Amino acid sequence: MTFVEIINAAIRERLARADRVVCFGQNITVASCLSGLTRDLAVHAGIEAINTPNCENAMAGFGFGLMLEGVDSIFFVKQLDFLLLAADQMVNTWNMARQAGATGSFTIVPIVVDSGFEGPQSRLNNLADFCSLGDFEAYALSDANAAETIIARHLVAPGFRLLAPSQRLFRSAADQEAPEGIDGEAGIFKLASGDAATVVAFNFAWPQARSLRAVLAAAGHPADLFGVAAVNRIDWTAIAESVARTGRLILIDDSRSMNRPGERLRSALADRGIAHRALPLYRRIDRRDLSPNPDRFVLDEAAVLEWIARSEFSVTDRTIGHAHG
Amino acid sequence: MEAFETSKSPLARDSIEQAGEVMETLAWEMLRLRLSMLVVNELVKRRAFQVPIHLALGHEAVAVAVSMAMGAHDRLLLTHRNIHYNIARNADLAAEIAEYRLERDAPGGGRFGAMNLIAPENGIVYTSSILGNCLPVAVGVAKGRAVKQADAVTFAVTGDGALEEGAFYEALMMATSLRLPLIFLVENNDWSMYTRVAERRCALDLQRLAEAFAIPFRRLSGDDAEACLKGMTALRADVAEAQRPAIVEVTLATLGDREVTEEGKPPRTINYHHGGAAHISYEAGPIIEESERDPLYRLSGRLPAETWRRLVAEARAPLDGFLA
Repeated sequence: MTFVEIINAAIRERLARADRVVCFGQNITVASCLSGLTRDLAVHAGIEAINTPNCENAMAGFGFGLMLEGVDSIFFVKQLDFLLLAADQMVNTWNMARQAGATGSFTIVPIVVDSGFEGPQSRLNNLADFCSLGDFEAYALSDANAAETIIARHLVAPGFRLLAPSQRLFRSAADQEAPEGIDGEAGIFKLASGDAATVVAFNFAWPQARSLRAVLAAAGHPADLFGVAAVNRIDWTAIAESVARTGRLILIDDSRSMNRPGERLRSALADRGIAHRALPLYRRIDRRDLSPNPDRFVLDEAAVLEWIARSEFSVTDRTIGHAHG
Repeated sequence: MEAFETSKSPLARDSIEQAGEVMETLAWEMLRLRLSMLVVNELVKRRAFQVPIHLALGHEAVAVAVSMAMGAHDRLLLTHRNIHYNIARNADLAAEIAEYRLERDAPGGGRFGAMNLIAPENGIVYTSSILGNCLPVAVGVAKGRAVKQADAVTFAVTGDGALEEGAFYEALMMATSLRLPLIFLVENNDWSMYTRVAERRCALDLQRLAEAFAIPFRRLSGDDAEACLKGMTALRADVAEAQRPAIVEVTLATLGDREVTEEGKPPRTINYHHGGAAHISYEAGPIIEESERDPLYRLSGRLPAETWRRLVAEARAPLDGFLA
């Protein structure tokens, strides 16, 4: 199965367990059904699937209105950047709805158009920027097993959140091994174990992190590998314990956000007094992102190996990720 | 006098039983609302509140009409200028004042201030100070009522300024597409803060807009309480029956305007927007202007003078203590 097929199946499975959910969005029941993401949502009579007009502000407000009435809903969006038109509702209305004690579940599932070829529209390739406005839950879906867990727990649950899959990964084969340990509530997943370093993947950089971890292991440096799907309200305890043991932290984030959760992790480690060396591998942000591009986020794995091997070599703020390869 | 269809709301029904007939009930509710807002105005002038309060003097007829027309399962969504609806739906002025004072033992726990004040127990489930923001939310609320088969109509109140926001058109389109029983109520006072409609935009014919969406339109005069109640009650019944939205535009005057002078420019009258209306007092009330702009003045002429004086006295009695 492909990644998008896994997500669609997980959504349908969760809907099958729900009594009543209003699903809505543009073209969610016709043609490709958003590349297969929303195919066959009406799994029983209580699930309504509505093809809506093109009005993101109204659609987001619609979801909050349903939430105020205690009716669960899911808003599927073809592109994350379309939600910029709904920012007022996602910030102001959510602030009011939670203050009013709204009981329904409202989930927005936007596809993050991070393949690069959308040009300017693919520059917004992360959830952190949205979350910094409205302090709501959000989960990046870039791993099949983690996505299944997140969808099962958060797709229909009281409150408001974003669950966002990466379009770039839609057609990839979903053959990852199950995570060693799952912490779905906190949105952190441990993907592999080792003592040489603690590798932490953010946003949709899990494939790159897996690749790097394999290179390190092959070179005799097996590392702890964590995937952080959550964007905020993250309990860093498991990662902090790992860093305390390995002494090395490698942060991998393919987002173009200036609100990087990895920096919050570093603050948390500093607060806890955990001595370590850190290697942040972040994407360079430049004007080339504004033109259609292949969106390659390629890590210099040899440089990381060198960093691991040379114990006296300390890098704290070195950026060696590349936007275009 | 033509009998109105009576409201299902407990508040209105009790009042009708007490008063014995609709016109007196309408007058009593109008007076209670006007005098309550005059009390709040006095407290604002005394700087009793830290939260910004947008009075709605002159808006009483539409608020009372909506409140009396609402069914038991209906919903009402409001803007930052919501005091008239909140008081019309809540006979306890002390509770409203406690909300404005942000007191923890207020019904809403003092969590919403004035611009976002809600009262779910009275059907007021959402308010927003963002222009046009409540309209899409109202579409969702209306859908939620339909999903629950609640036999309800949702009222979404907005102002003429919000017609300039995209949210108005998006919500109208979505509600019409989904055939939801939702009344878009536009309070048109001709002002957006300190500029008149004609000073800031082209004219907009809401009737023709409604025709474009193939939904009903009704224009009501906010200075005529009797016509407002009759029109709103009929429109609610129509929307409930047909299960589709409608637009109602209520033209009215926000009383409390004042004259300002800028160096080198002629004096200019500007609309009341928020805060205390300095030249209006509780003692001089309830009528603010002896003109057709003031719905209380117009209403007073439709009742016997003795009845009017009695109702004024009855409405004042429980309020005087707030200013002692």
